[in-house]
Amino acid sequence: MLSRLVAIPLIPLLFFLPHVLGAEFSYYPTSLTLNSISPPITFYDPGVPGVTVSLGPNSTSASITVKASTQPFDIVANSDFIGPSPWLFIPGTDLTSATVLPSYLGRVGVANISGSGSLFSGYTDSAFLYQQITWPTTPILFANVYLEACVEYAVTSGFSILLLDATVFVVDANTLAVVDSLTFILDVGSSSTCTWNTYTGGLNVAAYTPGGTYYFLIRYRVQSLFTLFGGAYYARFYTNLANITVAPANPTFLGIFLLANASTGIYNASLSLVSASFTGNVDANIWLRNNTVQVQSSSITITASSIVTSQSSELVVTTVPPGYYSLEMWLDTTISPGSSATLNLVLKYRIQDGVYVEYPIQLNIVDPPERGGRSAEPPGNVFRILSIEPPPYIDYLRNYDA
Amino acid sequence: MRTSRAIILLALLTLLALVGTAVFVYLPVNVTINSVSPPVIFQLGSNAGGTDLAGNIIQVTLGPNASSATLVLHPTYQKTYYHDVLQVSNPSPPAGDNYYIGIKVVSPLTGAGFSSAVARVYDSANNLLFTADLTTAGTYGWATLLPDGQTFRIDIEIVITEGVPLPSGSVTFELVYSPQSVTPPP
Repeated sequence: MLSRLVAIPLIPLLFFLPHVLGAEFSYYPTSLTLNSISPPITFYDPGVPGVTVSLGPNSTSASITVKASTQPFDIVANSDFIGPSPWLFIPGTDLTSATVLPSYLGRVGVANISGSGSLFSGYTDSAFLYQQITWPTTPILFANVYLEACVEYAVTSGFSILLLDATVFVVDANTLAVVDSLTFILDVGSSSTCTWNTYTGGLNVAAYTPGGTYYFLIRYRVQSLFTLFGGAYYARFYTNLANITVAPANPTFLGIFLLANASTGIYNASLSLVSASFTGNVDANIWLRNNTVQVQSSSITITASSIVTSQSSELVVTTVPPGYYSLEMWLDTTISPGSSATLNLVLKYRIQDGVYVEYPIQLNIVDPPERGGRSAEPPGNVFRILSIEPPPYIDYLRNYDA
Repeated sequence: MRTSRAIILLALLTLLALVGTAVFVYLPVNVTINSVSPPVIFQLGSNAGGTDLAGNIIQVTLGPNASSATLVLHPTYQKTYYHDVLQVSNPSPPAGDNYYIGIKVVSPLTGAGFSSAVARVYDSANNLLFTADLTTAGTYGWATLLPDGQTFRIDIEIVITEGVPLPSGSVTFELVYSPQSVTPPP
């Protein structure tokens, strides 16, 4: 009896005893301090007609509405030289200076290529403005080149008759074949004052690959038709407009919908499509472009309102000279009349593999009203057109005659 | 006479009762403490000491015996994600010892403007094991098995909503581990 009285309370004690003895815990303290900093990359409104941009209070988010249109549109970035320039410059022997002026002779945003040199019989020199363009994926009814230019020059010594011309080239960036070229005589004689003229010509749209990448080049050339006993000259070529205007068969948009700039550091950036909703039929390609080095990412692709590719490749993003932007976000879209899309994107940038930042972007694509005209916002600075490694084939183009 | 005797008797009984309740029994117990090297340790993540935003450094410092850690990070607006900044390891030797871990948030994140802050724990196969909310006190992920010889990584994700002044703040949490999983940590 006594042993039972002792055993009964001991049984539950024996059951719990191991658990009490085994419940050992170790605690390692960790402190985390967060000192937040200003965003090293911020968004900017590109000021493109037909693109309405609303930025967050710290420019790390954006809501954009793009109006697709059947109006002819320009596929050359900053074709009016207003704002930051994606144009690149290839100097000649004497034509070695290239800048963009806020205004000149009543025109806002004017590129100036100039130089001076010694003349001799057979003298020729040329310099180029160029940029990489993307042919629209949508069917194009027709395409025209527009060049508004003027030239000031003088033979400062000796006697020479000079021929000054401008040739527009479109060169396939992959095959390096000249797809189109148009030459315009700017002036011939002994001296001239600058008078603005618009030169235009049609392109052979059947020769272009939808979505293809091309170089758009403007060659300014000085040739001596006759020089007696040598001499010297100067020449200044002014360009107010250099574009390719294409007429789409369906409502479409091709251009920059958002800009980003890095204030410090080097990053790898990409775009991701997180979610999308569609009304009707929408085709779209979205990609990143670093225009200072003429490099672009692979595209986010939407075909017939279905997401084919939801992630772009990465681009290196760095700080750039004043007046330029580190990153351009491009859209090429064609929609059936009345269609629309809402795309939820994320710009993601990282430093190596350690830290990633994500900014949300909402992109809305809607059917017309029609896009507006050129932006009249005057530029604030005179800035120099960048000169970097020229595209291949440039020496051939110096002497090319169509 | 009888009354005084009664009073004396009553006083004696009262005293006896008080003395009788103050009884103590002392059972001797010998406790021997043999401390051991920590079987679970912190390690620097692969990105500790790497470049943070705006030229800063991802600062991660371990205590002298890898049983404490201090981190300083520099996030910005929207979502900032820090990958593999800290690791938790159960090295082998000694072999065969498994431990259960969790994260206990002791002092949640201070600093207005942080809309969320989490620590994510992943195994070596990049599987998400659990997430600890650094803005709310509590124990998270208990009891996640950290097998012998395995190492888990810890990522930190911070979200700062636009429109507020850039915040600064701190959070204190503990890695808690035990050889058993039945009893939750106090």
